[in-house]
Amino acid sequence: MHRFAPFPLVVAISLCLLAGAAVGGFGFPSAKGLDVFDVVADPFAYEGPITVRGGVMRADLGKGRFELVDYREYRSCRSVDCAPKWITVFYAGDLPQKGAVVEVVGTVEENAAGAGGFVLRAKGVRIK
Amino acid sequence: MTYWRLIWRNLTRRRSRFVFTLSAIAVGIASVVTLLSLGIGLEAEIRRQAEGLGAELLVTPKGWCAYEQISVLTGESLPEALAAAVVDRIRRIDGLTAVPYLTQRAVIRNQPVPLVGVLAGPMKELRGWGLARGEYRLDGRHVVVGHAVAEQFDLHVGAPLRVRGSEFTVAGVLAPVGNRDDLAVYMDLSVAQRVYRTGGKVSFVAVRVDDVRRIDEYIAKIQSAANVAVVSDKQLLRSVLAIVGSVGNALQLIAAVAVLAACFGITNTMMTAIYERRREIGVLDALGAKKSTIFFVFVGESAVYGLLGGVLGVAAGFAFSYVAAPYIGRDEFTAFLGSEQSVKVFDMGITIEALVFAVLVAVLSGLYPALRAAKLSPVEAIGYE
Repeated sequence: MHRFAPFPLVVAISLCLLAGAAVGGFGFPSAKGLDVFDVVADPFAYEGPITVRGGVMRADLGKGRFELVDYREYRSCRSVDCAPKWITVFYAGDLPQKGAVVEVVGTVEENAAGAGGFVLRAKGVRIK
Repeated sequence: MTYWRLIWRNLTRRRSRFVFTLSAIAVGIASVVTLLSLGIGLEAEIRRQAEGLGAELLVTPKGWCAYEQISVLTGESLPEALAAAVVDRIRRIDGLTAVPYLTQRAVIRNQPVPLVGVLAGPMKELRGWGLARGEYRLDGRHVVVGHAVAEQFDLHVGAPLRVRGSEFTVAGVLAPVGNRDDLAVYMDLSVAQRVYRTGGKVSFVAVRVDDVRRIDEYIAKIQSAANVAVVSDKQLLRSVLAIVGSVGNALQLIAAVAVLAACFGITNTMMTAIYERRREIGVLDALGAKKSTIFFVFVGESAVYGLLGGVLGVAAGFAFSYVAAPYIGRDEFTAFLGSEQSVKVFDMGITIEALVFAVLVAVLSGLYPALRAAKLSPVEAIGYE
């Protein structure tokens, strides 16, 4: 009588998982958080720290600021240069590069230097 | 020993090989089932949202991209792009009812909620809305909310709502309609234009025509009145389905490769089995078994691989669809729909199609090895060591 050997099954499942991971890895970086269009529509309605996801349109190293465009539009159009609306982010740490997908944790502040009269003062930026 | 017992004994003789071959076909079929179930659910959702528009034509700014076209169906915020003068020119055309939309976002308890600026009367008529509670009142101090929004945020009639610093009161809650209308806050168009400072512009205009047979004529009239793009609801549906389909086609190609690899796996397994069982085939020949019997034993083995792999694949595919459902909103083409219900978790049609497909490809994969087995001469087969 044959004894059931789990090894082939383990290898088969591992191969399937590897294949899945390989296919998934080709996609656009996933990110979680509020969308830029959501925040731009009514920025001062958000209280306390919020997480905003988006693509980096440009970064100004000298001023410690970068512009964030809508994640879903970036994902669909694959370009950060044609966005109709964006958020200005002030960040004291290392700035992400143009085209990076990021999750920004910060608070909305009134500031004439930002698009729409506000900026997002970031406490943290996660590059995806 | 019966025919089927012989097949089963042969299949399970090498258990590890059996598991690997079965896994290959199961993975292939699971990927097909997952794509079909997600695709069918998604298409149904898109059609439902398109029907919910309640208009035959859509007037948009020229040059809108795929994102914006999908956003019309999903209720995402859209740029204010059509001037009031354009809307007035369209509304003056005889034989049609033009309803402008300004799609924006409000914030309730730190969560974004769609807010649509509309003309109260024409919008109610276009959508056929009823009221669940309160009154249908849109003015400078009152808004109405969709049923799902009221439920989600516990908004009752008389509840305050702050939109871009302006205070409003919920005048009424719409009766549930089962589409994105349930998910929004509705504000008077001119008030929304003032609050969002759009300079009198709107996002798009939905048009209902009196005579659908003259739809081309209406399109020409609108385009001659204003420099805008006009699409019919069917064109919009085709366009959105094509966007979804183009991504789906790439995924279907991956599924097809997985099934093809599984087919080669079955062929390889059966070829190996023939070399291992030459003596057995020879004995069967010598005992008077017909060539067709040997042929069908091997084809039968392939078919069982297909059937079992198909059953496992269908179960795995639907299970994966179920698990993937909460995350589907993050996918690049379904992100716009923002719906977790766009997945067909079980479908009898898909199940039958997948099982038939699995058995068919497995049988096709087993034809060549079965022919080779049937052609073996008894002397050559028995003499094989």
